[in-house]
Amino acid sequence: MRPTVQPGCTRRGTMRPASVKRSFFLSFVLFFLLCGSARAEKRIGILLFSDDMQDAVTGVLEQLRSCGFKEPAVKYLLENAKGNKAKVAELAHKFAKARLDLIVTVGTSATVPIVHQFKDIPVVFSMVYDPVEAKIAESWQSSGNNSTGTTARVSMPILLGRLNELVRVKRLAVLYTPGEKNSESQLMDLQRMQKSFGLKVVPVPLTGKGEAAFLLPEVLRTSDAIYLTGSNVVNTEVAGIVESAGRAHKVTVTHFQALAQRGVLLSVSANTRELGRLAGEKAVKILRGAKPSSIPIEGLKKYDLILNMRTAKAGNFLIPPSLLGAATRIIQ
Amino acid sequence: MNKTAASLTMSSKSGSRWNTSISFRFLCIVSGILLVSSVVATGIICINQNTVLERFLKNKARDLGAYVAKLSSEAMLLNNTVQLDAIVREAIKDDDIVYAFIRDTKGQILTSQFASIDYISLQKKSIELALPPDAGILEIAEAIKTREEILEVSTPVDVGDQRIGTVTVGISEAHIDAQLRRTTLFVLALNIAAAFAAGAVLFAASRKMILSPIKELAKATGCLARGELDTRVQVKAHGEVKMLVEAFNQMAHDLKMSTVSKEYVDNIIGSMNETLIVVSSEGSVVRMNRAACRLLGYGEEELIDQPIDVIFPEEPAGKVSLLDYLRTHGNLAETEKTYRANDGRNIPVLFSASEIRTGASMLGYVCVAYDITKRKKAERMLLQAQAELLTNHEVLKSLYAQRSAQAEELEKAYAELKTTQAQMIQNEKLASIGQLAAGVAHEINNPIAFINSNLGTLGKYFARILSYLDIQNQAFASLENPEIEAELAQARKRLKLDRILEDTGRVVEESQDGVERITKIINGLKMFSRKDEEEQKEADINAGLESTISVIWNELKYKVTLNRVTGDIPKIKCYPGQLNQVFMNLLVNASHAIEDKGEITVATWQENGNVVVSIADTGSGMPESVMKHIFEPFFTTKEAGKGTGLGLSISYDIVKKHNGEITVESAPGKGTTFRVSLPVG
Repeated sequence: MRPTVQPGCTRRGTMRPASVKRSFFLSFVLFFLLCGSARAEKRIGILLFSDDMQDAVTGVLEQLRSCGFKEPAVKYLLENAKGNKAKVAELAHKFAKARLDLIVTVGTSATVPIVHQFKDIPVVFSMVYDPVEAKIAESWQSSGNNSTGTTARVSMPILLGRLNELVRVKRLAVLYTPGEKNSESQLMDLQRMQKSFGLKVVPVPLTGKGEAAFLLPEVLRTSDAIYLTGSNVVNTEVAGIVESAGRAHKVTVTHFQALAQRGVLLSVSANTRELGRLAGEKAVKILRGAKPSSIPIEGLKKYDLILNMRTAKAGNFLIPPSLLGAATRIIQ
Repeated sequence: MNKTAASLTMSSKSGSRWNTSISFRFLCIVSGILLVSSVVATGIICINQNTVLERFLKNKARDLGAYVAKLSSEAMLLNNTVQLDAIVREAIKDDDIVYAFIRDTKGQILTSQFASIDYISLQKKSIELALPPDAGILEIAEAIKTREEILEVSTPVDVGDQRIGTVTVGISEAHIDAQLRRTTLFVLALNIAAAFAAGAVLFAASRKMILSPIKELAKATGCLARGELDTRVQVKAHGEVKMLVEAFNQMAHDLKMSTVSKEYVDNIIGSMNETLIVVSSEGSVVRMNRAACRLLGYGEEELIDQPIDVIFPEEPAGKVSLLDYLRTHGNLAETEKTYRANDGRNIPVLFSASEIRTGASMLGYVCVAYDITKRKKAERMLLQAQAELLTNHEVLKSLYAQRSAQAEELEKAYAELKTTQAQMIQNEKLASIGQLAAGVAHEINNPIAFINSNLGTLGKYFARILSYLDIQNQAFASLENPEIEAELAQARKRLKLDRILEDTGRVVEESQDGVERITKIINGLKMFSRKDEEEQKEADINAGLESTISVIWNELKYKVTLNRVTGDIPKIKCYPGQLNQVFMNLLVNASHAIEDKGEITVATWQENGNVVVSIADTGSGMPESVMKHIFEPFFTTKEAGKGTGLGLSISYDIVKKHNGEITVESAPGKGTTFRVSLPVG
């Protein structure tokens, strides 16, 4: 914001003592105005939970910058918890000292502690699967607090429909992590769908690194397909899971775009970057004065259908042409 | 060979002896008792441990079930299966829990398969259930129960007074079985180790205190049985064992005092250097020792049962055989006999034999012999050497006699040579002196001649001066001038002229007398010292005596009154110079024998065709002991440096050279008389 200068301040050639006093007063006002303009710089903290969601951050920034919130007028404080919940708490403490105007969080594990801690700073979240289930919002229409955001939730009927196009599933093993709301919500969504789709959802809780290797033989023996929730434990074990499933000729499916990139055969997911941009829009609205609780929480209307052909070839899966035709992205 | 066999037998027996030894049995019993004790103790401990562990496991399952029930009540009310899964999933993380599931009151299972079943532990245990894919949790649980011991505990889930479900916990007993096995093994190993340690300590202690002394005693008893009577047990023992050891040692001592073992005797016989042959009463060899075998060249068993005559040469016919002699006399002591060896050699021996009797029965004879071959050889050599020695002794004796005679002669010759050398030296000295004297005499002779001539002339001239003075005196008297006469008388008186005139004639006479005497001495010297001619010549002994006296007169004149009794003796053929030397020696000795004043009487006469010269003094004389040595060279009674001891020796030789004889008569205080007898021809 540029300071406004009074044109009358230089009308006379010589200055009298009264005018000197006035000039001094004006200079003082100008100083405060300048200070005010300096304090008027927006400070936005962005907290990313894990690298898998980096695209969402990119989308947020793109959107903010496109709406005029560029550096140096806006100062972005970017932090990455690298999948560590303990670090999230540490970074939240750092944000508290930074006198931020807005906090953008990416990932449920990053969002929940931030929303609970910051009651007076607006929070825009992204990549949260079910904020209501995660108890950070009262409803999808209004959070009832200083937060709003976007959800990565997908339509499970669509996902199961696409899965059934690939393979007839009677027992769907769901790899999830108890305690991770995002992960648990996906399980519950699937459980709600099991009757409709005539399948049995078999929950497979993974609570620590290395467990998957012990459980997978029995899981793969008793299931037709494996659904990978985007929990931390699942994320770290994804390569081994995909490889084992491929050997057992079992389909892997997820709603999490990053996991498709890392080998999951079928993914019906919201575009992470687009989700970020959508979150950026909500952030712009807040920065322009809107209340977070007045902005509804929403997801994308369209989902990406991603097929990982490397995994398909490795597991010798035959992809139906209809599915191939419907795929928005094929990873070779 | 027998010894080896015996040792083999012993070694083969040693194994069985060890098996039956007290040590082994004691060790087996102690080890067995301790092992059984340890096994029983282990069993008791393990049963107790099993009970404790089972109780612990039950409590654990009950507690865990109660805990799960408490946690899951709310989720059950909310029908939150995800939360129930999370609860049971946490529960089965316990190592012992194999499965945990929750049922509602209708019996429907609310938890999921992979949350309820601990597939991780099943995988680790390699348990494959191989159930159909759609098998329920109850089927799986049943399958697990068939694979391993499972303790299943169900705990109700109550909300207030209302029961809403049940928590079932399946807890594996594999862990407690493993724990029990580990505990059993550990306790068993510990007990066995302790048993072995205790057994070892007990065995070591018993071995030291009881078994070792007993073993030593057994060993010593064996030695004692074999006849080693010096065997004693030297072990530290206590109490009864000590008493046993002491009793054994005392017994061994007593046994030794009362027993002589066969082996001991055999050892003595075997160790003998003398040959020992035991002969039966019939005359056959019963036994022979190693020395006998060695000497005769037979094997130990070779001569056994052979007649004793085998080892003796054949006796001449009619001579009594050894056996007959022994049968008759019983004993034969230290008799030289001859053995005949196996190779036919005859071996001289010192042979003794005596009867062996037991009571009245005669068992045989014991023959002891000592090889005297060397002694015999030595005797022969000794005799030979003795004979050679005697011969050599005789030869040496004769040689010694010859050498002794030669030595005596040599000694004599040496003495003579020595004397001759001394005499020659003396003679040479005297000859030199004589030559010197002769030279001096010859040189003095001429001046003496003109002195004598001048003295005669002087006498004549003085007579003429006296005649003139008489004439002159007469002339002055004739003048009768008193003054002149007075003056002349005064001058004559002042100048003592009368006395001079009177003495002058006498001085001349005395001078002439002196000159005459000098002449005489010179002539004597010349005569005395004239060099002996090669051949003898006739000389007047009296003249020789005179010349000699004149030479030494100066020594004689002050203390000796010389009496000459010279007879009418013919000239004799001799070496005058040498005889003068004899006379001078005798005269000088006579002079020396006279201490103060005395007489020497020189007499010559002819007697039995010999000219005899006697020189007698009135000196101190000499005893018989001195007298018999006076002609020996170098014998002197004079002080050292004053006499050579050769004078009389030389004189004796000179007289002998003239075929004469020199004798002496003397007595202490009565003087001495030497007589020299010289043949005239």
